[in-house]
Amino acid sequence: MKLKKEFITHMSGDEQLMISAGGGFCGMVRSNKTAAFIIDMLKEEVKKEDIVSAMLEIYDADEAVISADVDKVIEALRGIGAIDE
Amino acid sequence: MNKEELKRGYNAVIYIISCALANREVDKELISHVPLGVIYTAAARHSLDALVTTALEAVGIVSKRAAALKLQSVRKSVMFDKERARILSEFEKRGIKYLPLKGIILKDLYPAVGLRQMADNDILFDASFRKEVRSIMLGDGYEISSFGLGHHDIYLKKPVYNFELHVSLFSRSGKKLFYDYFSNIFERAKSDGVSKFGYRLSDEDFYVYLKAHEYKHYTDSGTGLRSLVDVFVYLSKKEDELDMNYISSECEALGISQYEEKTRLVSKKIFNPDIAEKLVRHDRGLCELPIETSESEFLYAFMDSTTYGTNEKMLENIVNKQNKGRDQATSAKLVYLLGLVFPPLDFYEDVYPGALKKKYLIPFLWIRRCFAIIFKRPKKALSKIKRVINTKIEK
Repeated sequence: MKLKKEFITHMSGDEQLMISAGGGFCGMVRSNKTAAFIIDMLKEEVKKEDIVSAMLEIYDADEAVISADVDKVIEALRGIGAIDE
Repeated sequence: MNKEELKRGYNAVIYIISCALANREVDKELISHVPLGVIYTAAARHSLDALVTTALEAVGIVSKRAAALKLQSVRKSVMFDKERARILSEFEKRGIKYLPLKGIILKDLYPAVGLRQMADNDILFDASFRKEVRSIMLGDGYEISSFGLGHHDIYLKKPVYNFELHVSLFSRSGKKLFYDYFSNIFERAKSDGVSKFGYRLSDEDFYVYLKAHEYKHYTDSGTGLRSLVDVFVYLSKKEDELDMNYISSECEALGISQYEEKTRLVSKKIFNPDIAEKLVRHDRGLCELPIETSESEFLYAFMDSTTYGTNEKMLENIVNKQNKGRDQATSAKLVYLLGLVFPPLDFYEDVYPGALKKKYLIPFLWIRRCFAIIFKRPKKALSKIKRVINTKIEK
């Protein structure tokens, strides 16, 4: 899966802003560092397992917790039509 | 909305912005005498609504419409940033020198993304690449709004993209002194330190350019409160490191030192939250005016214009420049309208470089302009003439 290319991000302090430059979704997603990490990984074709492994290397948390967090972010992105499966 | 009501709205906007910039909470009760609609309208006229909305939201004053407009501004800013980076990477590939201007630099000094609202992206580039830049922009899906008609070309692309690409910082036909002063600006600019062909001005030169550009608008169609906010924000971040002696001598050379000093002092005063609070309290009859009467009149000239000036202000300035005793409003309108067909000679040099060496051709250019006005853009011309004729000038 991959983030659709019309979705663009911008760092503002510790917060990542994401919008769609191509119409459709006309809101804005504000993400903390963790969600921003997931979104950044999705800028290239990637599997959920790859995101979880990358996060396990950085964050001191259980795999189950991280996996649930990744699911949550991906589901939210799906909800606004930001993911190319 | 009458002028007095709007003025109270502007004072409330100044107070709210002073709080936003000082990271202080707005006192809701203090501004309760001004309807929220007036505050939002006053702020929007000066492209300050995103900043005002943010400060009001922080104290629980939420308007759906204002929030939507603020979101639009943030989105636009993010989109501009990405698009600009893409366009400039193309300049890099082709070895075209470029220098980002005005809002592109100022926006990063504001408290958050989108709070310094931008209508377009102003970038100076190496004029010898004008045609190549046009082909880059057309190849990228941009439409030409204006090309070769002065010191900048305008390119537009949906949904929001607007690039004003400058071949010089001022036009010859505008303020010749400014044109000459800034004509070799790339020689004074430094590398931006992160790219091969990107340049930046020193903080001092940027400030001098900002003031000259602002002054040009101030003496043409007027400029709004945002100019004062820009000055305040810039100086708040940079003043301690600026060489004010250099700035002062350069402003002197440009004939704008009084204007620079006045705007600097007034902006510092009015965006001091304690003074801004007193401006509002004065409106409520609770205290004396916290600034000098002359400063208040100067400030009113900014309030009275919108961000990009007004017809009224432009004609008022023509009247002031003419300073004649007859029916000044009518003569100002006539001068302006005649200027559309018979622009000053320097205008031809801007549009047709070398034209001044062949002055005998100028009457043909007048005929060409008349034809263009009548046959190419009659509706636009008629609506402009109507607007000018119907403009009321305050004496």
